[in-house]
Amino acid sequence: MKTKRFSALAHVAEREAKSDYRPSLTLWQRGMWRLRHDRTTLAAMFTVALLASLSLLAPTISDALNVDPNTQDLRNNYAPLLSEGHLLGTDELGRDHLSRLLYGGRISLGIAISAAILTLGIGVAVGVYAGYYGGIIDDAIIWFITTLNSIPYLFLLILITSVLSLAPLTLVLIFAVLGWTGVTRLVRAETFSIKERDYVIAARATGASDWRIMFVHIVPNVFSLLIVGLSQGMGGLILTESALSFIGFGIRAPIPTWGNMLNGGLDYMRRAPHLLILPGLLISVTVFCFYLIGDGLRDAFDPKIAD
Amino acid sequence: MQQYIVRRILQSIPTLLGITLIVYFIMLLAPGDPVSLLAFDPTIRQDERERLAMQLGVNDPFFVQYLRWLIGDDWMMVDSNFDGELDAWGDNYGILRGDFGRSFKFRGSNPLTLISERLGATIELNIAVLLVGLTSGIVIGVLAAVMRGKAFDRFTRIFAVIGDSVPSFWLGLMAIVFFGLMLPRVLEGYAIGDGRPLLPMGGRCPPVRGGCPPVYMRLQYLILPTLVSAFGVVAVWSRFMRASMLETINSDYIRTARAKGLAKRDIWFRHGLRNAILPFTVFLGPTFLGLIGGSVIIERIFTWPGVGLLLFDALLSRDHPVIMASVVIGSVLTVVGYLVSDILYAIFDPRVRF
Repeated sequence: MKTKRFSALAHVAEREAKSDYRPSLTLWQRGMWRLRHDRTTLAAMFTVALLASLSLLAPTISDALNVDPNTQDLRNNYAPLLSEGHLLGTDELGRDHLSRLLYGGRISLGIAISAAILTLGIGVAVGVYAGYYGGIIDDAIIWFITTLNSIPYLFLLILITSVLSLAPLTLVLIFAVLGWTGVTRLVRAETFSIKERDYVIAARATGASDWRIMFVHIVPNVFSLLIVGLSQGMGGLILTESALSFIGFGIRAPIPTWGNMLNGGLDYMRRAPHLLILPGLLISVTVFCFYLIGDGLRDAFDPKIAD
Repeated sequence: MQQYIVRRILQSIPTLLGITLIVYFIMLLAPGDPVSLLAFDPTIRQDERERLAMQLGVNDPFFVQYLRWLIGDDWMMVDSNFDGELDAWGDNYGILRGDFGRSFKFRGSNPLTLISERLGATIELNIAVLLVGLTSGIVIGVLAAVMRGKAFDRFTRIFAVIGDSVPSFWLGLMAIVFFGLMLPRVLEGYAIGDGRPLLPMGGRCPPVRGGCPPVYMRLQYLILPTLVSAFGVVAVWSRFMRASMLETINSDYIRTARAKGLAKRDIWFRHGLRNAILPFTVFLGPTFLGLIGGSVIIERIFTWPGVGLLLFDALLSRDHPVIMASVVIGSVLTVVGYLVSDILYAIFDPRVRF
């Protein structure tokens, strides 16, 4: 009996080797293949990578151009674009606009990326836990999420940020503590359906612990949801951070971020509108690219879309 | 149905309680204790401080303080004359009975009065935004679905992502720069106008005494804030509308209607749109919530005298009673918005079972 089965398998293997049979692609492989052929998403990824590396290289670039984001020069304020020594002009205190934009990008992108990752971590942990165990813990978590989501998000944010003194790291923590609910809802709903599937039941039958089932069998299956959420979360967080800094309750001067560079812009827009245009343009382009990447990833890793 | 509505209303009670808990907890974290704020006096003696602290109840456990804030203290004896003995009934009615304390900044006026004076402006702006945003969003979405794959469809899809990515405050600033500075200058070059903005750049009405005239007398003040705010709403709703309409168009009964030979317009707007629009009653709640939250920013840019601007000013001057009242009222409005949108959904969709 046993030998017969093995020979049957050998036969199949032999036939596969002879023909031009290709093993079917895994979801992951197919997704990567689609991504490589999606020019819009690739362009968006390239733009984000470019902006991120420019921001990372902010000190080097500033040194090379012989400018500094915090040196004031009151005799040379409101310099227009392409003026001598300052490619993108200077702001109301005569500080170099280009290097402030680059340093601002470090803070804005840094906050958005780290907060999105932290949000995802909390969201997945709570969501899988609530979805897997259900019961009274789940009810409590859902009540908390509903409550948190019923307070207008920006009201809650400025309430907290007006109470706490803010370093960029604190802001990351605040974003994560307030932002995990969306991910949790997604992951919880998926976990509910996945935990009834055969392979989870099989894993339990072989004696796998709850932790192993949750993080080895369930989490990988919500992974494609998560990378989409990550990309869109980063875009959303850049918007939130800049809105917060714009009205003066986020990161405060002298640390530049794209948001607080627009703060008070209403006062000097008559003299130097470019100081308003550029930071906002950078915010919009970055968020646009993050959203495009999110859309591209969703299309690439959606198992329901056939080739 | 009535049972469902009652249950849904009961469900929002724990949510409202949770909101007050969270808001109170955050405000307790605020720097500066009330004793030093009230007794701003370097010569105050330690025993006087302690007496004041006892009278204000700041040393009580969190939940006792919270309950006093929530339901008031007029049912218990308090120490009214600083002598350490309980001798009078409290005079604080608690927020459940509408007593949020007194504003620090506006000479002791009731925060609720301040808010209700401003609420009209916020609601006026948001109704305008919803009208403009929803109508154009739905029309654009339906047209995009009907013209799937054509240039219009591709354009609206890109437009929707752009509408999501452009921050509304920056769009507002750009609108002011363009309509307030650049356009008048250009027009002046062609001898049109006198270089002054064509539209008012902020405010709700001309600065006159005795409040603002009725809305239709000052529509020009609404134009910029409404368009800027509606931009994001149009983006979101056109995308959802497109998806929902596509799903409906591909369903069997639409195919039947087509097979019957009905006119295309009848199919799309009488058969299709009616069903495609159903899920949108659900999105009304979140949209409303987003608008209330975003009011801080839009009202700040266009100096629109609504609740958002009130909250902004209160935060700057650390006017705690007004801050707490605005956040609680904003949240109550949100909860009510969700409630109404859920009930509307249940009414409009007969498939929903209770």
